[in-house]
Amino acid sequence: MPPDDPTPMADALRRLAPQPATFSRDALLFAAGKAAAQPLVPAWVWPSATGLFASATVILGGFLFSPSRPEVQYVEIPKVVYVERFVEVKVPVPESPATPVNIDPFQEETSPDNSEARRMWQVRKEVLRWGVEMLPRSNAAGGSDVTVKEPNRGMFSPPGSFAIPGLPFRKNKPAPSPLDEDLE
Amino acid sequence: MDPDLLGYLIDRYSAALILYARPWCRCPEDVVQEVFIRFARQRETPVHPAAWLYRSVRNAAISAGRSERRRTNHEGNVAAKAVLLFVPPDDVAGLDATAASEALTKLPLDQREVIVAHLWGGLTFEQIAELTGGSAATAWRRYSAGLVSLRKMMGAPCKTPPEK
Repeated sequence: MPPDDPTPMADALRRLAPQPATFSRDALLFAAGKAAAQPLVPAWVWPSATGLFASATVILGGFLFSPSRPEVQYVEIPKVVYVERFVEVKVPVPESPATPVNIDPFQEETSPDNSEARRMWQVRKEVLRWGVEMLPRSNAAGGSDVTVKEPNRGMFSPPGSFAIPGLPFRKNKPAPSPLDEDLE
Repeated sequence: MDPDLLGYLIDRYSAALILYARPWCRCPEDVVQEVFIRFARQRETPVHPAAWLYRSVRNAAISAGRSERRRTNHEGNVAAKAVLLFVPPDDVAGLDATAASEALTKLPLDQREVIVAHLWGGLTFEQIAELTGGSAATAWRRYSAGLVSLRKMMGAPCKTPPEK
């Protein structure tokens, strides 16, 4: 064993017992168990957090119901709707005469001068209606009106009329109009 | 935390921890109690509970000593105050408790720390090196030098090898 071997001194020192603790072992165990059961978060954290969020809620609620909040104004825009409806419009109608107008200016004329005029007017009406073939032919040229008209009967017959050779010409007159009746 | 383990640690290490914390502060018992309470609040038990306790006591004692010096402005009073560190042994052939306490108090702090942690705390030199921030060899050298100093201060005779 070397002369500076600390083992004997260490053994002698190890046999000395340190002064025991003066604190209560049970009290220390109770305090340790109490500390172990406590949460790691300090006790003031949750009340502080609750108060903070409550304050935030109150402030936000105040903003929500604040009277200074600009109100939303609703403006109604006129909406154009097209509706079909029938409107009765009274058009001033000239009073019709009690008796039909006599458009025949020569109906009541009985003088011989007017009979020629009436005939000419009749011819004019027929020409305007059926064409120039209705003009009367003069006797000096020879032939009657029937002979001259016979070859051209089919050409100038009004639409819808039959032209059968050998049959006497018969003009297919349309249904008499009230105007014609008035003229006659 | 297992209460049985906590009770065992209190019974086994409380006195040694108080002895270990005494150089730094005047209220080592308060420091040790706080460390045990902090130990109970640990969600997972440390791998080496003794090493954890010594490290925590060391830090807490240093912090408490700074606070005490700041309050009382009496630097050096803590180290100079001589108290009886050991229980008087029943064995008359053993070391004198008072002489051992005085000699241990006079030791340099680094040597005293290593001796207390190794002899009464049961820490290895690797754990002491990790605790004090050095190497295991350094801790061993301090330990040896401290024991030699104690032996010289206490007047204990050196054992010489028997002559062949």
